[in-house]
Amino acid sequence: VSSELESRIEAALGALPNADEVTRGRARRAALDALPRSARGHGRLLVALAAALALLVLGAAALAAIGTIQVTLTPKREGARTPEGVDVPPGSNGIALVASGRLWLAVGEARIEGLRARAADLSPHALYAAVGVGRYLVVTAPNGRRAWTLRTRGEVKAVAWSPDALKIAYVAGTELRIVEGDGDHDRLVDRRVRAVRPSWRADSLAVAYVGAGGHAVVYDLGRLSRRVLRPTVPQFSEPQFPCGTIGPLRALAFAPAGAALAAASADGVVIAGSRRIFCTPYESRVHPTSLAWLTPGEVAVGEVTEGLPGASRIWRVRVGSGRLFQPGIVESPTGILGLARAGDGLLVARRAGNSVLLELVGAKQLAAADARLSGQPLGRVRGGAPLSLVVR
Amino acid sequence: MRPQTDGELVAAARAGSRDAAAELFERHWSAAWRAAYAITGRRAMADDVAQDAFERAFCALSRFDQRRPFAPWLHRIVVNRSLDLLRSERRLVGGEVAERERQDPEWRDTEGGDRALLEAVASLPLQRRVVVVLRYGLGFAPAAIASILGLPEGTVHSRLARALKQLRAELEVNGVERA
Repeated sequence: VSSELESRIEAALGALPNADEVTRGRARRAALDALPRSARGHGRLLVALAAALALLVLGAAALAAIGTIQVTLTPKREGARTPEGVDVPPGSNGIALVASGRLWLAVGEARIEGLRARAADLSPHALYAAVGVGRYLVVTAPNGRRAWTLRTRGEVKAVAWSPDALKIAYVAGTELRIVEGDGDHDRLVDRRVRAVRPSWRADSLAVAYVGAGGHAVVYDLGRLSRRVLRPTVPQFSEPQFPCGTIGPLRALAFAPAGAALAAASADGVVIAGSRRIFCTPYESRVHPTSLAWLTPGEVAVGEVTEGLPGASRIWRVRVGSGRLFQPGIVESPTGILGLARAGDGLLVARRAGNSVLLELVGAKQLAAADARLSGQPLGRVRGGAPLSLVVR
Repeated sequence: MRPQTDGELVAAARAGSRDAAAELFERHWSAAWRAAYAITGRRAMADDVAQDAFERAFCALSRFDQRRPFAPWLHRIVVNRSLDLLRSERRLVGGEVAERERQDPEWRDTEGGDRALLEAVASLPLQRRVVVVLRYGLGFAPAAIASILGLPEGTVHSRLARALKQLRAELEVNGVERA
């Protein structure tokens, strides 16, 4: 009986389908890109260099032997290798990165690598993680201990934990919902929203999100009221101010303190304070991907320049300054995919081939007008946009 | 002309031949992907696992012991990566949710295949499913499976025996239910 069953298993497994050609092609490129540099055609060059070095050493040794010179050989310094995966940036408690539908999470020694997920956020101090896995919102301690799971009415596409750690706002399907941090009292906030990560105000009493029309909406939990933010200041309706028709918004974020809200679209950046709404058009057409507050009065916006000449930049906008836009503080030839404040610095996720590289821009670099991304990457994960990056 | 062996291709790839690496990829991609698919039961996860396995294997090519065969080494990476992902998912979302997600239409979508048997294989505990896939999907002998999984050969035999027993029982139950 067993041999008949075994033949049947062989036939059944042999009849499984193959991967599609697109997947095969992508994997082939990625695999060949992963070959060590020495295996990419530099072998001969290395041999030639080694031979030349050997000749030099022999010559030098001969001269040293007859007392002409003194020779000291120091060990060659190995180039630091970019670590695979993500690591907790200095001055932070944890990091959660979702790239190409896969989650990379690091908190202390705990790691989740490459889990299928669409969205993730960490609670304050990174004590818990909220992860969107298909139709489930899963809250777990980063050591893997699951706290609770909520089955939602659509795919969980964006998650945001409130600063007081008591509430989670999430986008499931087209709905924005809020659930308590213990999984109770799940309620609908708006039936039609865009899949952009919501942002909580510092006092945790209001949450901002992008409505179905592409505009910013602030939902006040205290008053149970909704305010649609449109730059309706009179000058914006004049033709020379393109922000009169700004939108749809692609990213938004409340300031870490106070009530200012920043939002970015393909046309410009809107910063809504308590009294005024500032609108800052871009100097040139950019494709914003991410947004982060640098200081209470300054916002960084990352961009990709796919198909366009020139490097991608991180722009910064000073709230209420006469000069609306400053040149990029950092440049990347391959596109900025995500930004997050990490300690005194700014963590930048940028595209590099089939991978995403994580690099930290330190406080000194941030202060420089024309800083470049030149540091050693903190980590590398496979994948690309869309990307969500959270550091706590 | 005699086709190059895996060992020769690995040596050439290590010396800088991209063509040799590409040939290695073409030779083993299909088996690696199908193994990942059979273990995980999910196409998207198999895409990730197989690509990841090749990236890791090629990245570590300089550390690979050329005297050993390439395929078992690659499949060891495939198996470990599949198990890592499934376990971390199970830990994160819980067995019940992971099970429901795992039973998404993909196993059932296999047209013309032995659907009942594939579902029975998919329902095997992970450790047993892995040895079944390596033995009957990829044709590795128990000794090679033991080497791939880092297990005693006796353990592989006992897992295979238990898996076959479970599959037989499952198929009998299904047969009775259908009858």
